[in-house]
Amino acid sequence: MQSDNLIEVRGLRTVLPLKNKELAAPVDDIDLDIPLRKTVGLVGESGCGKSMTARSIMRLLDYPIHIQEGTIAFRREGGSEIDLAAISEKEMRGVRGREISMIFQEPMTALNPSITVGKQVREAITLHENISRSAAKERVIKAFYDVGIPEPEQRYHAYPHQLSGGLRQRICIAMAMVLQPAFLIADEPTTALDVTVEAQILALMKQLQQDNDMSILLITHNLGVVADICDEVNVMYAGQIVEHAEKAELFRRTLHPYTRGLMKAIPRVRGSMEGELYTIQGTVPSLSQMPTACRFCARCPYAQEQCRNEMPSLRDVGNGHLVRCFREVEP
Amino acid sequence: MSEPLIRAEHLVKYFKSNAGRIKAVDDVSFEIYPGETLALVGESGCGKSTLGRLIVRLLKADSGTVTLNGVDLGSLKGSALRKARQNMQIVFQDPFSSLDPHFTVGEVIAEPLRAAGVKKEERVQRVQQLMRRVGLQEEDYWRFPHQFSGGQRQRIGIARALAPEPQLIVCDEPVSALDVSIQAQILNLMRRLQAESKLTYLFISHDLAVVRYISNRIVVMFLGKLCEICPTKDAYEHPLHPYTRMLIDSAPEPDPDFDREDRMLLQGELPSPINPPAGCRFCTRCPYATDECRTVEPEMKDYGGGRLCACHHPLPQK
Amino acid sequence: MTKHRHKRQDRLGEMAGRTNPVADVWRNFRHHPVSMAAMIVLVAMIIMAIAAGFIWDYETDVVAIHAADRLQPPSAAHWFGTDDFGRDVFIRVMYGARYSLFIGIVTSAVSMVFGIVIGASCAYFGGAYDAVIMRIMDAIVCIPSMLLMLALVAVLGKGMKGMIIAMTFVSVPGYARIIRSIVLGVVHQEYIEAALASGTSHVEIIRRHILPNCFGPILVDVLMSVSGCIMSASSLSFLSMGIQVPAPEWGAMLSGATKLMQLSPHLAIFPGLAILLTSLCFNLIGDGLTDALDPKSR
Repeated sequence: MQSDNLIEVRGLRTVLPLKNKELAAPVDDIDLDIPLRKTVGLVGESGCGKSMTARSIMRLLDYPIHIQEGTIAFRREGGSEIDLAAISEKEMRGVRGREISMIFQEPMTALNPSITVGKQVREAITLHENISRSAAKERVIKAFYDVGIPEPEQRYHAYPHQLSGGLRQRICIAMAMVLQPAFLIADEPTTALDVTVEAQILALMKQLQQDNDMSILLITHNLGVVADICDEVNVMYAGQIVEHAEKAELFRRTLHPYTRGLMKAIPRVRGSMEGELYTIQGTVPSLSQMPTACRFCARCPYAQEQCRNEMPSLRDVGNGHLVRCFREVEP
Repeated sequence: MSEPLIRAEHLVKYFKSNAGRIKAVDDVSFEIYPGETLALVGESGCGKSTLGRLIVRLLKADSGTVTLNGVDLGSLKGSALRKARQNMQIVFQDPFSSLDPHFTVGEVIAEPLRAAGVKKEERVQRVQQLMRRVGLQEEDYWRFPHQFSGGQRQRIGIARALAPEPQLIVCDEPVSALDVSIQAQILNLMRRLQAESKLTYLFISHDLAVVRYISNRIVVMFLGKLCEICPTKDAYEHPLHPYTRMLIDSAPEPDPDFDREDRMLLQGELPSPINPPAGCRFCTRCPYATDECRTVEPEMKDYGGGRLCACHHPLPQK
Repeated sequence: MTKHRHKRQDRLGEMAGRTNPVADVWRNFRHHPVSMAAMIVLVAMIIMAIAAGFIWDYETDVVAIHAADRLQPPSAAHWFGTDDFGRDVFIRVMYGARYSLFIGIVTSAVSMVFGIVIGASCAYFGGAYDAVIMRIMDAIVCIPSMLLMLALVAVLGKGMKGMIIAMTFVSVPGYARIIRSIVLGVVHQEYIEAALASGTSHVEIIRRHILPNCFGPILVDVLMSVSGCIMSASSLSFLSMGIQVPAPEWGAMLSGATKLMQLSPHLAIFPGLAILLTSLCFNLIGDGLTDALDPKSR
């Protein structure tokens, strides 16, 4: 494991048995590095396996989905390394919430509607630490204050339905952050929110990351969100990572035809806007009929004979830029 | 300008809730001109979907009028109303719950024609024509909606809306449930259909980037009231209302070099629509708010060039 | 599956009409072997119940007393043995199907009709009407059902008619509540709004959208409850408030067998099995139909 990485995922393959007893792999051969104190984006469209990758790292997969191969090396607080894919469920429970925590897309369903938000966050503390109720309460209020919740003492006693979507997401973030984990997984944290609130939440996440020296894995379908807060970006398509680069590099030198298509397909608030939007033809191949060659070839305007016969590997094209494509690129 | 297709005047719609009356739409007036795409933007809960449903009269306004080609829709009842409805169709946000799972694709699209009393043979022919226009395959006729992806289902919904050859289509967040690449396909399709059939769209959305791409004019709504009405280009280049500027500035920009420090971001929370602030409803979140804003409700003022704004202190123009 | 798709495409040319929904459901139902088996067993029982009336004479074979043959264990002559009056238990169980199935099906069907009228109207009109009617239903549910049925039978008089009325009265509130929630779930779907926007009339919306989308869940619910009705009919008879001796209703037979349980267990086992089998069949058919009626399975 490299010294500046917090997490190193190697060859991760998560499978799901289909009706005909065959195994489909929504997550296939994923290599993913999460450097210390960095925000890494995992971008893709619905069904590309980005959430499943996160859930594999968290070991929150619903039976019968399971990790078939691969390792997930994680550097613990003291410096020791463990493989999250191999440890027991009991050990994993000690890691979850304390060293790795997660926030979800829908802040309403992520909170229990019948318990006050203060108590829910307090229980997140007392689950892992043996401290008094009043001390825990103080920490909760401090956490509420840190995530920018106005009047944290009063909000402590509020029920989730009494809060707006933005405040609920702040509560979820407070709950995830209260034990100061080294690693936060954010699964589409702003998708259910209004743009105005989204901008606030993204600013908050940026600030929290700097204050707490943590790493974030941000899962999103929105390249605008990526451009705002990520340091590195991984683009996923049909269960595989197809492109990886630092943010500036990826936006300046977009190499994979899929990533290019995505960039050209989004309408923008600024800059010129002439003619029709670019569209990527066709649809994603289904899980049960995944081609053994390049998974994007049927939709790719540059597809060659080789693309239809072989699976391209993720190759380094300089500047730490990886791309899963046969096309020659100018450096 | 030509005569408006739709004229909404002083529309009011309140809903009852346990906590009190929700002022979803509160004294709203605007016009939609034939052939244009008018975008209705605002945060969730601002009343934009309710306003859309008032226009096509899926909801009845508490007061105020909507006229279509000069005819007051509020005065219509029974079969006259059903006939008028054929002229105004709606495309829904959720491509799943908006299609009856028991209907085949062909039946879904044929429904407005059936309601209009079109004979079966002609109906089948026209449905096939519509399916081709929106990019569906002929053999999809007998398939059921659940066999399609979200984007394909949205095409079915659009074909259904096109069926009675309406003048106006209200699009209620038609692409917000779709993936980026699919969203582009649907937006292009909608633009193409508009050019082909001289359609008028009322495009309801919270996505400022999509709105910029598709609309000619834009109406900004906040907490049941209109803030600004203006040509789309003006809204993005030099908005009058601070809220318009903030909405546009919050939109995530897929460009790492874009200067994010210069943005004007909205602070605080949306006030309750049951007890909106006195004076200007935006005053609690506005950086320029003065005592006047907190007491006097701003009127909609005409700034020329088709620009209207309800604000005591509009943003300076370059 | 592919075969059917071909068939559908063949018909495309003519655009004659959609595939028959009943045929669709039947085709799917056939793919559930367990439900299919239950259906076959149930049909056999119904045929048996009808045939029993022609094969055996009620007076001589079903209720006549044969003192010499009392309490015989199962044998070749008497497959299920005989009871304490020397009557053949096999004949009585077969004949009893007429009572039990009739009561179960009639009670469920009548309750369903009332349930649809009350539940659907509440869901549709809403407001004060809904509130008042549903509170009345709640009040009925509050009284323990067995107690209420016994009281009603006491007023209406023992026997088939009183029992069916009492059971219907007790089960209607449950139906009304379930059907109301099913209809409410459909009424608030966007496709109803879309149909309204299309200019479709209320009557057409109810007929073409609401009823077809509610029908499946309601039918399944009713089928599942047939077994419940048979059970409560049996319980009433068991408490000798239902079908009266010597009529061979299964519950009544079970009730008569209690005092001889240790000496001749077959008297309880066979009517008990009959009740169990019937209930099981209805439930399994309901299960299969749940899947078959789901439009997603077509």
